[in-house]
Amino acid sequence: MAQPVAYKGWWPLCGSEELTDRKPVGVQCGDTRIAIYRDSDNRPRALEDRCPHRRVPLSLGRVTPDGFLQCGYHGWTFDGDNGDLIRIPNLSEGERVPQCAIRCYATTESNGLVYVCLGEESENPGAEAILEQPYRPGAREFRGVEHVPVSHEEFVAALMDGPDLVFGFTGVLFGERPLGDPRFDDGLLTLDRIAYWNWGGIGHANLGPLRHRADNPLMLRTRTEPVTGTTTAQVCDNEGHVLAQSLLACAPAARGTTAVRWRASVVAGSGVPSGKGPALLRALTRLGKSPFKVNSMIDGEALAALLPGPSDTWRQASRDSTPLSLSETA
Amino acid sequence: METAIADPQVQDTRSGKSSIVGQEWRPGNYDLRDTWIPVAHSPHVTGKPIRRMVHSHPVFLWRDGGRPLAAEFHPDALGSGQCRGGELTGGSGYFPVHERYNYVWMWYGNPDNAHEALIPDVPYLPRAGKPLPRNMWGQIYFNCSYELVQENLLDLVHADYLHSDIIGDEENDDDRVYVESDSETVTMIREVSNKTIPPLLRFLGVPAKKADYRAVAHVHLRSGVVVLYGKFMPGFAQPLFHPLVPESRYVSRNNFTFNITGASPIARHGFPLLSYVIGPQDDFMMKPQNPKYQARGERRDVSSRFDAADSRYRMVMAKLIQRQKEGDYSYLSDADPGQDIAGLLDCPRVD
Ligand code: FES
Ligand SMILES: [Fe+2]
Repeated sequence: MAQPVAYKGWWPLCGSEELTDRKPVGVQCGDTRIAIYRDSDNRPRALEDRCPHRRVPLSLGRVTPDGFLQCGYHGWTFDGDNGDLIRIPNLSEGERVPQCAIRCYATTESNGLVYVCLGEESENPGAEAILEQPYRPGAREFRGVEHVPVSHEEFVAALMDGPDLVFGFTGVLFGERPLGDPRFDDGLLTLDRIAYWNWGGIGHANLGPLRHRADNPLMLRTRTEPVTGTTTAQVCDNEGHVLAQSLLACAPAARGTTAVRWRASVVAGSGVPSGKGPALLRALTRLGKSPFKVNSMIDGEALAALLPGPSDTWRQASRDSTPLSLSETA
Repeated sequence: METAIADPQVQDTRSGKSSIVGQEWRPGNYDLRDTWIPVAHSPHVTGKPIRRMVHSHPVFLWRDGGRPLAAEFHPDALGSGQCRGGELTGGSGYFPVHERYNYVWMWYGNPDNAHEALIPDVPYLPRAGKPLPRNMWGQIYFNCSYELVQENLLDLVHADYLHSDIIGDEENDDDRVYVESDSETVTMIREVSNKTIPPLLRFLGVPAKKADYRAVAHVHLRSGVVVLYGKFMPGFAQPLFHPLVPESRYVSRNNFTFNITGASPIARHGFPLLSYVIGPQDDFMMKPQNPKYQARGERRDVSSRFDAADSRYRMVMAKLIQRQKEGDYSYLSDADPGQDIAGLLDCPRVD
């Protein structure tokens, strides 16, 4: 049984481009199931994913041409603005529909993501509570959704302590050694660690001579929004130029998994460092190959062996500042 | 039989108030007893034992000298003398069995009460003799309790949405629904005049753009049997027998037979195939419904006047369960599952 989510504010539950004004998208955040769609004004709408008639998920239905959400079983239709039941097909003229409303959630769009506020109106922290991510989409963008079989809290912690366990950039190895302690920068927990090019398959970055190299050609910078764990990951050269980047939108999902909606691109254009690595990355994307992936099959043994590191700072911050406590249930 | 167009439990939509159906409705959580269940198509039961599920109990079926047998255990285990039969077989391990309409029916309940006369009447299936052509019978599994499938079959409106590609959007001059019930069955009768016939049905042999349509769904609550009969006028009739075997609270098995011997060759061959399209469409909705009806403390359903048959079904079911919980497994005087329903369906008897 999925647990309720403690933080009732904004969660990124859908990519902006995933939403259409035809088919709703069904998502689950903790134990809450939500149907999201676009209305006729292109506004994202989020309703409880349960028809009050015979309990069918509304996400199996459709969006009507006038922008309402219609159940696929008997066609009951709901207004995304307030959750009101507005139509039952085949009623005669003059017949009123029963007074009935389903739960309706506030939505907003930011960082190319649709955020849904899980709480009531009074718990809505306002759209300004969503921190801007440094991720900027490139000309060729790759996207995906993965459900990682590890809890949200442990996923975010692993992202800080051993990012190679949860994601990877093609041709890049992440080292174990952080470059400095984690710091808060514009509200985002920022962490740098050493990285290497690995086109020839040199092997594990934490073993062998690479580990004790005098200097490192690359670094991985992760910038994590502390509540949801939504992170921009950047592969940079030593001068801080971003070569490749990704955005990982994280949310607790069904059965204790973590839903990760990601987008990634390689940086191109003037001012971008030349060299074999960046050129290969750009060539790959031109061939339609993603430079980035999220490991949906996380290595359990390696995860269990991962020592606490920078995630301590994050867990401490979560505990200190309410309502950041992610693991406790409401 | 009581007759009503609208169920008293269902709200009057003009008043604008929503009604809530019944007490907590948790189908799949009570096994109704003392009933015949058509557990297998006759041709499936041979000298080699097969294993089927009924209310979460395994049932072994085989033939001995042509005679069908149903038992709680595999015949080898029964022969060893090491198995003791339960209450439902009076300790013998063997269920009472009867063969009719090309099904092997087993008695689920107290063996002393197993009377042949309680087998539901299916006027459009031959009682005995050669099986119908192979394409007219088969099985589909639904990922839900059998009650949800019975509700689905009593419900008309969903076809316009879920099966609109096959059945078409509704257009007609008049559409009436009547609900009848006794203490064991619920019957939904629908009469439509001048219904627009979608292309697929025209292709299958309805010879006009518009036709009158009459459909009856006669539902036996205890045994899971649904006797459906529809006909287009002009056009062909669809005698669709849907016995839903309650395998568990998660699965029901529909051992269907579509006896459309009277229709054109195209309809005879094409129509039964539709069950493999329509069935999964229904399952697409019923499968996610099932856990929401198994969970405790779910919010009650909101209904409209189109749910009269369904509301009646839940009401009759609640009463039946209540009686059985109190130890009363009898059939009340208003009910007779075996009574001739050819008149109710308005269909000719085949024998
Ligand atoms: S279940 Fe949604 S309209 Fe019937
Ligand atoms: Fe159906």
